[in-house]
Amino acid sequence: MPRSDAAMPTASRAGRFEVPSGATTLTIDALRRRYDGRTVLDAVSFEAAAGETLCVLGHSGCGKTTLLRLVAGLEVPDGGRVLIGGEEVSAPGRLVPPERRGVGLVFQDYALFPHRDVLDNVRFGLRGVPRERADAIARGLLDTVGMAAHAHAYPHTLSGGEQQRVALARALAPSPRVLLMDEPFSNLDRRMRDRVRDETMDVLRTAATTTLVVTHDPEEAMRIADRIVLLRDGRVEQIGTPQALWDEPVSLFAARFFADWNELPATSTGGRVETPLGTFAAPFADGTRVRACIRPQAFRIDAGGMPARVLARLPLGDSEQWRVAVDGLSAPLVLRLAPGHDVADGALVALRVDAGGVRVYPESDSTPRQETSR
Amino acid sequence: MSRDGRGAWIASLAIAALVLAPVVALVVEALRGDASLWPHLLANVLPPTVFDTLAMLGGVGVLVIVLGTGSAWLVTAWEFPGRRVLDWALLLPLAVPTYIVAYAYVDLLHPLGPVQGGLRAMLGIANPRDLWFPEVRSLPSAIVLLGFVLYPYVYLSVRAMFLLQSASLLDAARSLGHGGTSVFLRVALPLARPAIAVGTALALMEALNDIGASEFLGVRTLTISIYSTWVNRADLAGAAQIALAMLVVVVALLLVERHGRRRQRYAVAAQRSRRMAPRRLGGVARWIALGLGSVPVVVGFVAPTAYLVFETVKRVRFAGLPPALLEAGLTTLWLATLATLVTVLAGIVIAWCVRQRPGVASRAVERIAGLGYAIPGTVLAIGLLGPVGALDEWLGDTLEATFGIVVGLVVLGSGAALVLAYSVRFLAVSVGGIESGLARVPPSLDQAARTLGRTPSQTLWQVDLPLIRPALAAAALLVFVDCMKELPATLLLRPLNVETLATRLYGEAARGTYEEGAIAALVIVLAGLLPVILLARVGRARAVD
Repeated sequence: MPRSDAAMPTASRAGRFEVPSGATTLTIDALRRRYDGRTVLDAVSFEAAAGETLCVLGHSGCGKTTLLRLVAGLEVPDGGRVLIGGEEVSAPGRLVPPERRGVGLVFQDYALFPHRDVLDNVRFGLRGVPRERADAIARGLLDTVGMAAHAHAYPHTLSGGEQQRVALARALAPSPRVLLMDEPFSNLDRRMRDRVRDETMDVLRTAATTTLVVTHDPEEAMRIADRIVLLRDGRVEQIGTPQALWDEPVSLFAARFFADWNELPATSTGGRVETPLGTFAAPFADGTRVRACIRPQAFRIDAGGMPARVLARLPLGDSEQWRVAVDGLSAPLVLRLAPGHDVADGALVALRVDAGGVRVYPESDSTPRQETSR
Repeated sequence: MSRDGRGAWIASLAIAALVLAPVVALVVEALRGDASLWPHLLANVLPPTVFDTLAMLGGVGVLVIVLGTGSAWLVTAWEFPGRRVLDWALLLPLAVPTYIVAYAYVDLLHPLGPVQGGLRAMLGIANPRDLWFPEVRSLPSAIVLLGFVLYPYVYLSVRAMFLLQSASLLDAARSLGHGGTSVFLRVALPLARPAIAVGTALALMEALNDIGASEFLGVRTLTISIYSTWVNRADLAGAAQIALAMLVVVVALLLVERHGRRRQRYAVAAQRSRRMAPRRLGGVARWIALGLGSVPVVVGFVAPTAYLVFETVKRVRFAGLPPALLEAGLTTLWLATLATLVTVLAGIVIAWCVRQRPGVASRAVERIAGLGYAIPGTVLAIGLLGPVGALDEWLGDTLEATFGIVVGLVVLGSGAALVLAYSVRFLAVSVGGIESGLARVPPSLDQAARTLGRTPSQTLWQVDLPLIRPALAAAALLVFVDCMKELPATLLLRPLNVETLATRLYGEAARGTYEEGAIAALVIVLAGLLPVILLARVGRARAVD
């Protein structure tokens, strides 16, 4: 149902801009924004392919919500451009107002109009569409999100998850060229969140809408994104598929964002670093302070490895988490191992590190850019 | 900025300019005036009027602080029979304008009136001359009467402050060995000082605005001399010069109020916790509490209203509803409705501008637009007379030259000038009400409407305004009743031969004839009860939160 709507021009759109044929691209080009002299977004560029779901990920205050508002046209950039389907909507000297951009926005607090019932909320964006047709579109979408039975309920009577689904239907009703979602699942409790998220993504995949989701939750980004844009203090730190960001983080910051590592401080010499756990490649200038990062999963128990004392074991179902002490390391290591080892606390084991689970980053990568520039 | 955003911004600037225009015109007029008048003014007019005005403000100030703070503490700290009723009944005198309380008491306390008559009967005195009674037409009685109708301004803000004060503070004082009186004087009162300042400043602005009570009671205040300088001597420049002197007092009161408000926020922010529970009074004490708490209500509301009801019934029985009064009522309704429409629309424009583009500029515009409530009606009217007269002259000349029509004074004669004066004076009421309504609409609703294809002004009409309907209605009601009650500006700016209920009452009382005045006064008091009910309900809702 939503797919056919997305492909079909609605009357409200037809008179205003080119009829969208399915999904469109979204291009962010060197976008800049400051508040009171503080740079919130600095030369941010990326492009979302038609129908792609892109997650903008970052800590709070990194500028991700500002980015969303700039795309929606609710804020004016200080520099750079936003293009939707190749059309400049924000650029120096050009600003298409939000009501003519063809973007849908799902808010963190859902922002349903309290004085209109569910059906009325969903129909709100279908201006200029004949009444019966608007009704059919709205009811169809409510059906898709499983809210058809609540068409005449008022928003305050709905649960958080139900409101979220109505908000999604409302944003999709005018067949937006780009859908923007601001922390759409953060107000839901954990159990509800997983279900609503999966359902939402199903709806979006069917609709093939180009979607930009802002979130601070790396796990969420991993689950829903085709690609992730990792922001750090207003700049793009890394762009890539969830797998790429997991496997090959470009910096200590990116590495820490997605996973817990065992970090060993060291200094690089001759393109290598020596650590109590072994010697690893470190292609940096001599004397660079680095961190050798080792995944908890990269350890094996192997006779002939280095001796380590088991401090504690925590069963996690399909795996076990161990804390072990190794000579020469001030902090204990955290390991993830398959269950089934018959080892008592306090026993000595022999450990080997799988080099594929080790990354070495310069330490300066972890300090926020703003602090280095200060 | 969007196109309609720019339109609204220009409109806000124009509104702010309209509010400032009378003040600017006043200064210009005063400077243009004959300086030779000043020696006369300084020697003969100003000293007694300035003294009377300041004495009146001082006296009213002390009285409203004592009555307002005392009654607020009474209903906050003690539990006694009737406390819940008194809690809202203490607001009732707000419904009685100063000129009506004076009108009622001049008659009530007349040597042949019910009070003195009753006293004589009790004491067995036959001749009115043999009973000594304080002179009613005097400064002291003006102070007492104004104090008893204006104290609710202090009561309202101080009561709210007491409700916000944390009980643990007072409990702490008690556990440190302070009794009830000492807790009041050393903890509650100092914390309530900003609220007292705000309430007193508002009460004194109202006292300064008064023209009727001063006239009926023979007090020569600045307001009266401005009025007579213009009406009796047609000396606009002279009136403007006295008005300028009055503006100095206004500025001082405004500063007190603003300062109080800033400190109030601070004092409230400092604590947040359990509210104090009133302590139960027993024995005679509870009846004394009830008696004390009832005095302001009886003097400020019950007695004058009962008198008006009695006189109205007598009058209507005797002669029915006089047609002239009906006409005055319709005129009042018509003028107040028009002014309410204008004021609420202007309020929407300003409040929306502040929401659309928050910043220093829009805050400044909002501040200026809200200044009118502090400018006494007479001062405002004198300030408007200059520009409106010039506009009328220009319009008249132009229309006559172009179309050969003789129209006379269009703006003044049509009542447009009066509607403008009402709007300027009560704009703060509507802006304040609409802003507090809008503050409760999350900005994400606006943004949702924008991304769903609505322009800013469509968002205003389809989302914001429907959501703040109750706030709009409340603002409109407050403005409407204020316009209905307004006397000083109406006296100066009404078209020839046009009477409102208030001016009719004033005319009669000033002439000393008491005919239909009581009916007009009763209508005004009854209308004035509506906002009091609203206030009492809002206050209760806030206390329940």
